[in-house]
Amino acid sequence: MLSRKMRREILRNFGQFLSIFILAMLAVMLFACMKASNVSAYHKQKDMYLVTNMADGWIYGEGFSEEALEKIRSLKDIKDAQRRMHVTANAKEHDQAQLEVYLMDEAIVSKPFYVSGTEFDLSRENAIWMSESFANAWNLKVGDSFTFVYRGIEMTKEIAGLIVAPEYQYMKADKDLDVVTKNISVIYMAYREFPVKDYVKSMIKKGELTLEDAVEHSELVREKLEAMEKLGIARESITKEQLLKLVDEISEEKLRQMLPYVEIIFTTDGRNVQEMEQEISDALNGDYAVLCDRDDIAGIKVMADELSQHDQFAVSFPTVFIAIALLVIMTSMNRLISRQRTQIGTLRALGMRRSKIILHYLSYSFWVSFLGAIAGLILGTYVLGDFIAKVFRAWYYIPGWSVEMDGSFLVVVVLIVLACTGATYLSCRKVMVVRPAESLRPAAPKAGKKILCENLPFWNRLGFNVQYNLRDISRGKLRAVMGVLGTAAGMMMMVAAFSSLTTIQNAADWTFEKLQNFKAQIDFDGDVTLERAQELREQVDGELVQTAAVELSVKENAKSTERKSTVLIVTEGKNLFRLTDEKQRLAELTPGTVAITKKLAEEFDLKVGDAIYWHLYEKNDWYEARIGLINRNPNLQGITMLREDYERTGATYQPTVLYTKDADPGVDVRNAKGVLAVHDDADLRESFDVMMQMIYLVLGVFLVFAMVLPVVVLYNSGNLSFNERVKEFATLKVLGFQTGAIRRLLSLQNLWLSVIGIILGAPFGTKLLQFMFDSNGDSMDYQVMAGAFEYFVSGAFVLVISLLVGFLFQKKIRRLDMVETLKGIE
Amino acid sequence: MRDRSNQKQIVEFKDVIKKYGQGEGQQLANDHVSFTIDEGEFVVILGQSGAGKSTVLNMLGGMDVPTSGTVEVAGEMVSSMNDKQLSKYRADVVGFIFQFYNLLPSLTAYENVALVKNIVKNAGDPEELLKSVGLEKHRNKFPAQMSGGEQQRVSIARALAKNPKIILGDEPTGALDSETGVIVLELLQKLCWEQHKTVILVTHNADIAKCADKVIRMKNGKVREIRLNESPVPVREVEW
Repeated sequence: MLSRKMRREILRNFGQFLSIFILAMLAVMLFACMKASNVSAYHKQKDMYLVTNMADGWIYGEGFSEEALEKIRSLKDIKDAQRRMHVTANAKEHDQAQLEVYLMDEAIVSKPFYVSGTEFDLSRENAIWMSESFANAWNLKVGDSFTFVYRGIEMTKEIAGLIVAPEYQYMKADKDLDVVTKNISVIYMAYREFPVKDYVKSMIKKGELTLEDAVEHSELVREKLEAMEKLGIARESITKEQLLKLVDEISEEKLRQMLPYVEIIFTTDGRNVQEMEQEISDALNGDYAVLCDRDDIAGIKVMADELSQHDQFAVSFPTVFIAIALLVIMTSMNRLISRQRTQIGTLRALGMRRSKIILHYLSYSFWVSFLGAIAGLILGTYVLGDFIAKVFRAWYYIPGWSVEMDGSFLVVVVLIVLACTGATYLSCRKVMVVRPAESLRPAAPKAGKKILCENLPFWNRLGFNVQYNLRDISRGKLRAVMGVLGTAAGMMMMVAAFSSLTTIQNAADWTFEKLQNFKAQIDFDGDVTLERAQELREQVDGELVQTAAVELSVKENAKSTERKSTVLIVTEGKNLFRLTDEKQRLAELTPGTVAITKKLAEEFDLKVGDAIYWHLYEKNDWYEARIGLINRNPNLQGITMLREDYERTGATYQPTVLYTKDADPGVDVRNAKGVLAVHDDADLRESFDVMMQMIYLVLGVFLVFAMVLPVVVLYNSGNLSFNERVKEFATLKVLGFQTGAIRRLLSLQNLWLSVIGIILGAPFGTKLLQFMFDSNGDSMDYQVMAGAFEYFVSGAFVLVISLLVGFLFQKKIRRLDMVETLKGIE
Repeated sequence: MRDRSNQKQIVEFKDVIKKYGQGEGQQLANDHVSFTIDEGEFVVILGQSGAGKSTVLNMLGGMDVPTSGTVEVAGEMVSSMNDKQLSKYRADVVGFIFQFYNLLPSLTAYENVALVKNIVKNAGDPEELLKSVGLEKHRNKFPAQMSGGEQQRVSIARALAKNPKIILGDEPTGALDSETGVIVLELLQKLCWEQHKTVILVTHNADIAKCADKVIRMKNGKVREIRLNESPVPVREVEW
């Protein structure tokens, strides 16, 4: 019987219970949609790591010998280790796509994850394994031939299989601002498949490999040279041709010393990689450049940052909805239970146990929140979550990534249902402590007392509507708090959503109008010489810039844990690549100093005048630099220095890009040797837009939720207010008040609560947005911008919702049965 | 004349004081109230508004506890029961009929009676009980669809569903017109005379006293008179 009573009363108070249902649903939905794709990502990532024996640590250096590898293998906590060579090549066709080529002679650690074709097999001849995403983007199939170029050496191989590289869950070409699958691929191949002799000869012909280099890299060359010297041929007199002949006599296998293994990758038995640094350093006699763990690998780190952002969203946003839901439940159940006071008294008079009555009332919010939570779980996981996973699969590569639930979903549902039911218990308890005889009588009306506002000197001059509503708010404080917090949360989300558009527009203007004082960007391939780059610079009247991966620290030779991987930008100071200060004003770099981006400066607690230390990723030499400027860049974090200062360190200037004010540098430049690609302004803006699509998606969802929240709370607050005052409204109707006048009376209060909510919620909108942008990872530094317009539009939006909610009561007021209401029949 | 020899005492109210509130606002609702009631008696507690009669009924019903004194019903010391025991007492011993019927508005007539199944194990058959109060055709009506008399009869059926030892009525005809009131009283008298139920009614209507076996008259919280009615009049014979 009690369950029938519950069902009928829920239907009778449909509006309020629907609010609870919606809020519980939204809370779980937000959690589930963010979490479901994460759970699947973590799960599938783990599966991939198991299958591929994913590395725990990466050691980079200028070359590792067999002995070095054995020493690493013999360390106590190392499970598996192998060496590999990594070069960045380009496709011959296919828009000269960037190819991260891994050469190896064993596949033990970080093997490619097989998708189709044949499994990775180093014994197979003339074969490569290629990223599935790239193959799909270019419609390349297993069995097709694929030609690529490394430093002028052309290689044509058969695509033996399509794979996902476990270290490249996120990958973007250097020329792109964000992921463009057709522009980058990982390629795995056997080391012996690399034409090392051709490579060495080509280097010699180009003058990039001298006799000294050859001697340094190859013991065999040294031996041959010594033999030649014994025959009376002086080292100085050896010509390029003789050197080429000498190389010809050496086998490919022996020549591989000229292209050494630059990486050792290893797995541990669970020990933290950074803790092993000393042992690794001792084993290698300190002859390595960088030791990394998974957190340092960009292709893993970006993905991890994204998942971590989702994890943060999955907790923070539902919390807002749950807080509001609890307020709605407490106000709704307070009202329901106080209206049922005599029914509770009757049930107690009939001998029903107190616990049974409490359980009966708890069941209202239990079932409503439970059903809401289940609906949220299903919609959040399989509709919204699935959509999110689908969208993110375009950016990240994890095989089998979809949606999944884990134990945390159950915990969230239980927590939400418990919180909602607990809030009802608080409402119930008040009536339950009253003796049955007393609860059979209606509660004594609250003693009429002056409210604080009545002491105002102008109280008597306030109109009836104002006085009436002020008194009502004072009577229903919790309801008022609910209305204010609900609109505040709605306003906060709305300001965040609208400001995001301004923020992104600002980032675009900042990037394209201030930082980029050029119209085209010419990317060089890895083969370009400084001379060639400078010739091109003269041709287009541009500025050369080198970007390189570096490690940064506030100490020289710091431990890995005290270093930060970042980017070094070396400019010629010609003002085509510009810098802005912390307030986005154009700033100049003083010679002899470096600029450091604000985020990094804050992380290391650095200010202008402080010293920093850096080293190129693949080199072991550290350099000191003095900070001359703290700059800000929305998309690029790192240090910037002038070419003259960079060259003063003794490092070789190797430009990677050329900027020019000429929007179309012409076909001859596009096809020039050493030029990889030319991007004009429109290309760059398009790339920026692609990057922003993901942010727009999240904010679109936000806007929808931001609209739902004020509707739910204001409708609920109005509904409660209406039901609490229904007898008063009936009396007003008897006195001759028009429906519209009563509606205005009701709306006025909602309007006040909305205005207070708008004022309270507005400042948090930008904070929320900044939190969202900051959680995007280290590389982004968006300055949230919100002007009067954003606040005005958001506020107007909330106010319009508030007014519209008022109209929902028009019909209720018109249909109010004065006689029945005043007789007190429910 | 009704034969009431060999009847056992079922209620003993002994020197009961009931105070409400504290300090200056304290009110004395019952002042040293004592009386006894025998099994199967039809008792009317008579008094004006504020006489303390409803307080007596609430304590008899286990819905309130005395400040001092003892209340014993069917051998159980109600005045010293804890909350849990009181709930059980209300479920097993007492059937309550209210002035404003107190039916649950979201349950039908049948469901209001069947609700008792959620409270006691051996509840009566709701169909039978509704039939006994002449409402078998109204079983699916909600309280708002029934007249006051009909609602009160559902309330009586609900009280009877527990097969209680005593039936307590707080102004059960107070909200009814005289004709409907007669039907309700007749039903209660029948329960007492034919099924030997103990019925205790609280009322300010002196005419009802003519139908009672015992009349307890109260004023200002005190018992002024306890009168045994040798020849109670059948409800139909009273001029209302």
